[in-house]
Amino acid sequence: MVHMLQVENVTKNFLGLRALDACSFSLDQGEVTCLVGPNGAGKTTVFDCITGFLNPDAGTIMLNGETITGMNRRKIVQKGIGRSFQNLRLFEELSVIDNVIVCLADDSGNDPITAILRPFHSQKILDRKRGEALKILERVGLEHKADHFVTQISFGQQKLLCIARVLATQAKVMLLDEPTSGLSATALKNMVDVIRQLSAAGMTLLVVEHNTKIVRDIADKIVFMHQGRVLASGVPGDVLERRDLADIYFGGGN
Amino acid sequence: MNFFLSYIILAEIFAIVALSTNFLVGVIGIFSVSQAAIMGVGAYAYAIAVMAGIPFPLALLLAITLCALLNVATSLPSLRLEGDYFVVTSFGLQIVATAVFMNWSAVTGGTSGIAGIPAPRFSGLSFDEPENFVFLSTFALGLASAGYWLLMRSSYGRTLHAIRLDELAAVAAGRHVLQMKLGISAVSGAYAGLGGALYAIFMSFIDPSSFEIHVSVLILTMLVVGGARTLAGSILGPFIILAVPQMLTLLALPPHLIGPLRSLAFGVILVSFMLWLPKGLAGRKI
Repeated sequence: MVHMLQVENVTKNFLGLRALDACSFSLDQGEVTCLVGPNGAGKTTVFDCITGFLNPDAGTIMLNGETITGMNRRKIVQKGIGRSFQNLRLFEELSVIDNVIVCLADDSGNDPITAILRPFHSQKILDRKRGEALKILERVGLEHKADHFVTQISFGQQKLLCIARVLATQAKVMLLDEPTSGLSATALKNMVDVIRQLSAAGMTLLVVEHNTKIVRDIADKIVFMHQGRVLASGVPGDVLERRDLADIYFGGGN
Repeated sequence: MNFFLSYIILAEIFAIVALSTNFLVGVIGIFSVSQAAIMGVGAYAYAIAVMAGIPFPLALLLAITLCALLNVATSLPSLRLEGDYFVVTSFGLQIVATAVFMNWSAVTGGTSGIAGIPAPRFSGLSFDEPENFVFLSTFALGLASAGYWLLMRSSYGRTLHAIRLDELAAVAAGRHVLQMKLGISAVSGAYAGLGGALYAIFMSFIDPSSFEIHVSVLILTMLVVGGARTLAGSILGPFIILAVPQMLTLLALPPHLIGPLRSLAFGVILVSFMLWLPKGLAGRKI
């Protein structure tokens, strides 16, 4: 069976430090996979390798059976892998809707010739993109904040906007780096709902998550990492019950 | 010569060059200190072409195209060099340009420059006099402003802002950052070329000193005073900065003091705005 995304024996070294050591796991369509593990386990490095921000030293990454290892970052986005960042990286001087418009897969009108010499056509493209962006904002419940600036919305809403930006790229696989960290109880519930809806709509998600309660709530599968290695992967019940992993995770021992 | 009209015309020409600088420094965040050099290339290209008998519209087009290409070439290092490093590179380009203007005497006339650049004529109407030329410069600034406005409100303009704010996030969104930076560099170069050609027509005489490093700094000062990223800022800045020397002449100072005092005034203005009003009068912080 061909997996939506398959990571095979991916290894990455940073000046002698082995950040990823023959990591292997796979994601299937419509599933939420939680990537868990203590700090420094290599979770963000996995994200960087999958999205082409880093080139793995060894191993292959396949999207729907097609090898994407070593492809350039833009190409990988176009193939359908989108990511969010732990530190959000929103465009802070832009409005909420502009943050989404800028990330749309549709690249038309993004050149000076159209913008200056074909103003009516350019406006038409912008109107179309606005409509598209509004629909995406609706999916995360931010349509009423479309014309606010990023700095005027709450932290929870900013995190939802990060998801909207990834949706804009027409991602089939979404990598979310700690989407729930620092959220209030209401915002957290909201985020969990959005993740569930995305998964129900067929989105494949890989989520870095620290809160085991949320992991139980959203995960179809867990990939447990420690010191650059995948120590276990499987359904939440199995992985979360393992005493040895809990010890590593909570610092109880090695 | 009508002083007030000359002031308006020069301010309009520099507003076009300020818009050019705004695209790079304000919008996309490429901190160039060599826009006067690009403007100079536009001026020389126009002057040389026109004096070789090429008709006005073609000479203008040549200057604009050449500057667009040159600006793309000179912006290329910024794709690898960040912030401060690019400033040094750009500073070097400015010095090289001045050296070329001075030493390529066969083409540029060396330090004595090029004199007697003819003004264009349209059906008997000559643009020799400020009374006529002001229409040409106002029309050009109008076009340049419309272009700026259209570009900034387009989807392209929004993407440029996004790249300045967080290039990595723009890449993660699948944007072709390199292509977009080259595109805006070309537009910026075209604006500088237009400004340079108009300058050559209006002054009818150009020499290397008109496009030296201090002119680049002056253009940046205009941008700081007016405020980065806004149309109003780029237009307001040149009008204010070019009024400073006129103001100084009102003080009845000994002539040998006027030059140094003018430089001092520009310096004080630049530092004061940076410290107390970094957004300028009508813009945003660089």
